[in-house]
Amino acid sequence: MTTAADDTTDEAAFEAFLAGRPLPEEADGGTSAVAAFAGAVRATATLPGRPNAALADLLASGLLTDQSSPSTRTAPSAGSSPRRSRVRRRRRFAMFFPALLAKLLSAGAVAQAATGAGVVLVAFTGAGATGVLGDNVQDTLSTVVGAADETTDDVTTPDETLTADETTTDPGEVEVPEVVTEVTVEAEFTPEEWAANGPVEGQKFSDWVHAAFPDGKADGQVVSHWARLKHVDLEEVDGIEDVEGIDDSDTNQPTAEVEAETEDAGEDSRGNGNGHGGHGNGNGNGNGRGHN
Amino acid sequence: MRTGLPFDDVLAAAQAGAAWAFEVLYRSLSPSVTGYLRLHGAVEPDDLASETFIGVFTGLPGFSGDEDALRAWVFTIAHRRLIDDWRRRSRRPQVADDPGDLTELLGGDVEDDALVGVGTETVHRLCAALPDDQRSVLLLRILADLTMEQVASAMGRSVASVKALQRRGLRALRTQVENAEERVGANAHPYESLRR
Repeated sequence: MTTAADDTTDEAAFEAFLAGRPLPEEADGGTSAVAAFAGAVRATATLPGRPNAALADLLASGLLTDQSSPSTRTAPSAGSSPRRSRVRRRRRFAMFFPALLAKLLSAGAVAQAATGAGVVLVAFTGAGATGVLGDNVQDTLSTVVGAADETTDDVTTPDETLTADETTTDPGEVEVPEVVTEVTVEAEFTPEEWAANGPVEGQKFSDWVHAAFPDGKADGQVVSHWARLKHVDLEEVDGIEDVEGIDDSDTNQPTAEVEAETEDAGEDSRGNGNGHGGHGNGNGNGNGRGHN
Repeated sequence: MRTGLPFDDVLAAAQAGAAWAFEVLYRSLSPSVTGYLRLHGAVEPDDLASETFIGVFTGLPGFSGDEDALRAWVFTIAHRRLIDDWRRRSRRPQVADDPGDLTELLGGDVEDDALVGVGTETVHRLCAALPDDQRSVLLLRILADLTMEQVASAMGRSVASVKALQRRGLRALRTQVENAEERVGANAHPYESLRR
């Protein structure tokens, strides 16, 4: 029968065997058998097993040459596929314009140029959208617009691509300088407008005449007409003598007929002015929603 | 290692996927791993050992430690593969019916071959009589040379539990020996082949 003392002896003998020490002196036959069992167990495990096909392949070739199924972590570094390079180009292309826009907006001196470029771009795309441009230009425009749309499919936002050390600011936070686009382009002279509008407020009559007819070929009847309306004595106007067909009589005594013409001319003048105002660009978009 | 190569060099090469390093580790650890699985009565100990080493080699890049730690890790994987195999087969392991391929062990002297065969068969029979947990503790300590703590970690048990299992296992072995002596007499030791 096995006692507690036997257990302790067997454990000591077992540990001694594992440690390579000689068995305790108190070991009896049973304890020796336990130690012998341990030795026999080790003796049965001296030969390696037969590797299966997968392990044999692993032992023969290792993992260095096995690139058949790269992991998702290592796959991107294996090489640059055409799609990857295309996407990289798209990202560069996509980040170019926001960065350029931000720089232009942050540079106050260049704001006017940016606005002008924007106007040209809008006008050009608008014309392209309506198909007004020629075939070659239209095709080119369609390609560019299509490429720009394509770049917005799978590219990252500019915030992801811009590094911290870049001085480019976020376009969304840039305080856009208010650009007042005063169109000071001198209108092309037309005799009708000149005749209808007459000298503007504060303008010398002689300047009006010479500005309109620098070569001295003013319409004398029109000059006379406005001279009567403005109560200008044509004899006191410098350089008026070159104007053909001028009638300097009764310029200071407008008749009732002239008064009537004046009213008509005034209405015509206002009508022409409003007409020019109507040439403004109608770019408003109809995004309004009905309210109940 | 047993091959004489510095362990750190072998481990670094194996972690990089070098075939020669796999071979070194396999030759060093496979006998004890396969023996562990075989003495546990695994139906296909070679296949199970192969699965174990495939898992070891593919998981090596995430391993860090010395040679003892690697041995403990390998046997932990082998033990879990064995448990999975038992569950997959849904039956208690058949121990001692398959003493392994004795032809690999035999050769040369006929008397020695017979003794080895008897000794191997005796070991399988003794192991088969042990409960699974007690057998695992004893085999991990003998074949894998693991400490109590390492065995506890590999089996997912406490150290005290492993100590108790080892004590009961050794007691069971002694009981088998004493019972055999009573049956055949003191002059004919039934496990004499173990002592050679």
